[in-house]
Amino acid sequence: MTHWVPELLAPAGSYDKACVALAYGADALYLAGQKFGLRTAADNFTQEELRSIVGQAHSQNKLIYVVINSFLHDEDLVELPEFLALLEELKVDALIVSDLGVIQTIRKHCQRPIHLSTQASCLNSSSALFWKNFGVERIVLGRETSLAEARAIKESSGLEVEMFIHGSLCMAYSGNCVISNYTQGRDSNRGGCAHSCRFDYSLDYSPMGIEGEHKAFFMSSKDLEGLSLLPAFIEAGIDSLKVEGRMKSPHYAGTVSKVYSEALRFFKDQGIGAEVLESELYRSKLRDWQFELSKVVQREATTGSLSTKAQADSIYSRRDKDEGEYHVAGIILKTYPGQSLLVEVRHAFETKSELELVPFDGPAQAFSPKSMTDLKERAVKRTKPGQVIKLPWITGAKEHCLVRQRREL
Amino acid sequence: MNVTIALHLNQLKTLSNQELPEEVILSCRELSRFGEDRFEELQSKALELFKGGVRCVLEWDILQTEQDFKRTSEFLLAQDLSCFSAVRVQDMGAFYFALQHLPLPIHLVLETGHHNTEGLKTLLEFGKEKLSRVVLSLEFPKDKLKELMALVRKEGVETELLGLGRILLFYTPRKLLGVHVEGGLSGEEVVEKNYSALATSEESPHSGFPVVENYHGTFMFNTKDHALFDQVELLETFGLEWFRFDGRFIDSEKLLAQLLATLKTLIANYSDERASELRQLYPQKCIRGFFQTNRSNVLFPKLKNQRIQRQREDYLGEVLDGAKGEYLLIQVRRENESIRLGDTVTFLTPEGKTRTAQIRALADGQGQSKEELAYGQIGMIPWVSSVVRRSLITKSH
Repeated sequence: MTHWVPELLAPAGSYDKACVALAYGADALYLAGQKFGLRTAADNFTQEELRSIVGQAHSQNKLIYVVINSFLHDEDLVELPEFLALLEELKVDALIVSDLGVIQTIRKHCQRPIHLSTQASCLNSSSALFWKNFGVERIVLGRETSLAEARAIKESSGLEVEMFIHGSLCMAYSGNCVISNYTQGRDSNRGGCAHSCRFDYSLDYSPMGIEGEHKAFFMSSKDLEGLSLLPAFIEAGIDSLKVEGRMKSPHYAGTVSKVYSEALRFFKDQGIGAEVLESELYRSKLRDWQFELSKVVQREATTGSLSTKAQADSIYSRRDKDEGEYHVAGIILKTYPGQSLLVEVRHAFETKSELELVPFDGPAQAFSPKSMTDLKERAVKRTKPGQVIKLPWITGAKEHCLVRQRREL
Repeated sequence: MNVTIALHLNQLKTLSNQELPEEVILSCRELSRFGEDRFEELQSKALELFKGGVRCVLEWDILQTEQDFKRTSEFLLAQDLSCFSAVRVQDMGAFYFALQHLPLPIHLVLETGHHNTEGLKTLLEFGKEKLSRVVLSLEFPKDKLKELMALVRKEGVETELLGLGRILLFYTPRKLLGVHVEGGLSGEEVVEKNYSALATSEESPHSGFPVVENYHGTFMFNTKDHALFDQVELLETFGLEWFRFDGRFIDSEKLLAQLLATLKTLIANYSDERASELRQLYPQKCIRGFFQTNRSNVLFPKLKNQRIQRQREDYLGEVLDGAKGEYLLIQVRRENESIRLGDTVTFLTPEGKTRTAQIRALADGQGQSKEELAYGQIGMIPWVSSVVRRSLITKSH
């Protein structure tokens, strides 16, 4: 007997990251074309790449959601119908939208299901019902909403709900921050966010009559990590669990997809009954999953407002992220079964380095690349980032597999 | 054009009904981001002003999650709202609730994220029974404002614009200031007190952003306030009905009265001298924001290297790696395309160089000779001078 679990929705800032996230177990991907998608600096997808990733995902019974969540001005809307025609032709599985004008344009030009982006800051059932009037089928709730509230919104609106479970958090209500617009000349709600909330500020309390200044990263939020609350997400009937991070690395996309998909498979098999959650097996798995997540670059974790309202202890008081115990040494580009692997190097390593192959399923396999060569079969002792090298065949290796290495302390 | 002013009750105490404009926006702690007063106090003041011929608009602009929203909406349903001329909302949940349940005309604040005609038309149609005013975004340049004001007027709805006051840049429900002042207090311990500070970062070209923490969260404002009082003649020709002055952050009662009197006179009878007088009186530096033009998307192309954009029609693939003087490792990345021995292709490098070369040898990643590389396949070709990793491969024209 299997139990119901939500969809795992992973970010795909580029074609390569999309392949990695799919391979590591994401059920669905959200991604953007070259415009309209709030992450202007990401690689995003060309028409050809969209066509290819949709075909690839659908052949695996996985879903592709296309993000059109900028608050568009009239001049931006002009180009939208052409893009919508493509998305209709490709039969993408939904469009993620935050703007009523965009929703109306979609309804005129295509039949794709509409999901309301978190950018619209939908926080309550009245708001969900408002959007339902315009054909919205799923609400990506504002990140200030708790799990209990999400359940209530789902029940009273009759709409699907999606919630963020992992990744960076905006400190502001999404869609309600225009710092970049006024300070950097970049519209944060059209993809130009300069992340001013991550800056180091000096706070002068003289308006309160207090002397002296206080240096602080006072507007920077810790990152969301909802792994330990996964049973509560399932219990609340949240339809889709979203991972933030279209701008993040393939290492992040792969690791987070793998951990959450493994955890969801565990609950699909075992359920979320008290006997499961109190079992040593679950506790041990949770420790393993958390340990795996700690291997990627991230800020200190918070559960945000999932259980109780996020407060001052959710402020991240540093600039640097925790680097994670591991970094990605390379990504497998091509396999020649039984013979060799072509690996694109991301961080330099040596023949004596202790590496780990991260298979799409199951534990990492330790190995040492005792012999590596360039494409002309000349021995390489130390790789360089960006280089493509040849490694001897490793059983279980597949294209898009990550090869990682423990950081040197 | 009329003036509407947002004020706290203690500010109202010092102004006579004659000094006030036709309409006052009242904010209470239960409903408003910057509300300081209790709803009950607001209600009695609104009644008093109503009798004196001043209309009072009830502001409900906090953003609330389900539980708080439910409490607030139930609270509102239990109140006598007859002393208010309208309710002012921003959250679409509040808008929908007000449409269905509140016995008041609605002023809908569209200052955040409503920047196209299609969306505006839809809201006008959807809210037509009760929507009496829309507050337009500061991010519209004047030509668009003119167009939209005409559109809104045609639907029998009024328009409002922030003419003078602070520009809100950031709104979070989290308490971000008190924790630093109170030395380690966190969470609920610091919620009952208001805090304010000026924030400056070496990473921002501006300094001294006013930041306020109150019961509802933390708010950051622009270093300069928004002022369009020297544009009132133009705005009048656009058909703007309501010029908003947010007076809640003016500390001096005397100055507030002076500013209001000057503004009222200016709007009734514009002159450059009066505009200059108001500019002198106003305690903050001001900007017109995006009123002249909004070019906040022009920098976007610079966020990426435009020389290697893959959406070109002639795109074939990319260079993955290379060994100087020896080989390039390439991959075909366009579906239904291939690179064949003998083809001539053009390489576009990240530095902007263009190199055209004929493929005179082709091998797979194992070094085996090939005639053709199909979509997704990786292969080696002879080195081409100046071509580096991440260069695009395009068809040669």
